[in-house]
Amino acid sequence: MDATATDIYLEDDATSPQEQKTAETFIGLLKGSVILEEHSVDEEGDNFPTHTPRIPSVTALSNVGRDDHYALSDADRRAICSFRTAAVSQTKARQKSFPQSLQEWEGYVTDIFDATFVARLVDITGRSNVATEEAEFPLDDVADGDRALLKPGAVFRWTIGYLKSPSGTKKRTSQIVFRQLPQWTGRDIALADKKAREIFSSISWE
Amino acid sequence: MRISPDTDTVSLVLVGDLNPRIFRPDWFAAQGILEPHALAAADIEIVHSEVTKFSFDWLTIKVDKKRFVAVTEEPPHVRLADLVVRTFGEFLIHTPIYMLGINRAIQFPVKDLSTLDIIGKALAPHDAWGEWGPQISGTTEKHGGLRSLTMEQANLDDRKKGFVRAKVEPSPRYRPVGYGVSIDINDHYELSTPDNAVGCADAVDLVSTHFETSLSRSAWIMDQVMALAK
Repeated sequence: MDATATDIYLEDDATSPQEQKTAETFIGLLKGSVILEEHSVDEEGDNFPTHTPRIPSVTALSNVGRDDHYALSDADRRAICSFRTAAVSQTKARQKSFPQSLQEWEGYVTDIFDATFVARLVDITGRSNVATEEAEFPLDDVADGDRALLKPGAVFRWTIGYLKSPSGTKKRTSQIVFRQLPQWTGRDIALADKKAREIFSSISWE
Repeated sequence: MRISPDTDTVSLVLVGDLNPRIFRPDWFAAQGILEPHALAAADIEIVHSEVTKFSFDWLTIKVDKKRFVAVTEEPPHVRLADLVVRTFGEFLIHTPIYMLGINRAIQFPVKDLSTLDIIGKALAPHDAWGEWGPQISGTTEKHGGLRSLTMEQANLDDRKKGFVRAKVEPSPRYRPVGYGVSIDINDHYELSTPDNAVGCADAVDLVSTHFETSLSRSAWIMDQVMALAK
């Protein structure tokens, strides 16, 4: 996709801290004060190095920040867009904190009180299939958007782990996420019925 | 996994005939699949008849006419399966889907170049390259070795056609100050051919029943590679 004057103008008009950082990196790239190996982000979100992008011309550099962006040649626009993509990808990758899960349980709600709820827990990390633990959680631990899902029988995942910052510091995290399980379909019910009949017919009564 | 990865990315890929314009954030909100308040802060890159891409909080969705890709880096990963099962199982059941991928990619650090070499040489011994072998490693500054290796298992009991592929490479994430490894597992299911695909019930069933088993197997394969670093 070719760059447009609008693409370039948006970078100059950045307002959020991340956009500002990206814009600064972008301008630094253009001025040669920042040298980055260009990276792309694939479908899995991984960064991988690609080719070295074409260097924009001196004309392009001198036009950055001016209103007459349309003076840029198509080749320079493409080159600047390429740098912009590299800068955005790198900035995002560097600023992001990565969650590391240490333990995960699946829970189902058994009781709800004024300030807490109680759930039976299955240890997913330990590959258990049955609920072996029970825990009480503050209602405040439930995200606002999940409050409507909190009811007896509701299923959720509870994960504890670390949030590792780009600088390497770790922050302990605990998160409750209610699952949005699919509705039973006619096909599901028919399959369950078929399976139940198979099990029933396989039982030998004495 | 015996070494905590620094990134752990899970993606679900459905290949078929899709209409990208459907997959708007407000459509997901209207169906109750995604939480409307979170979607209000969605970063919408493009919504177009050819391609849709947006991300918010824990999720990125990219759809073109042949491929639906949902990606997350945040646990619990099962949210991804719930999203796909609800989207295609409840609302888009007639969408022709003929291939499915349950993919997981990690990057983990190793303590030094020597450890990276141990892993590389265990997976791809230099001796196998004959007289060239001794020349491959070189010096610390001009260092050679394994750059990419893909291993495939095709004989799997849980599908008629497909494979599990594991790709191992040195990770660029840790350069230039350190060293690390990236492992990318592609758990691929071929459900039918493009011409014969009818609906997506099989894909939905597979995601529903195999998603967490697949991620566990991926973690197990990754752990085999990590074991080489010890």
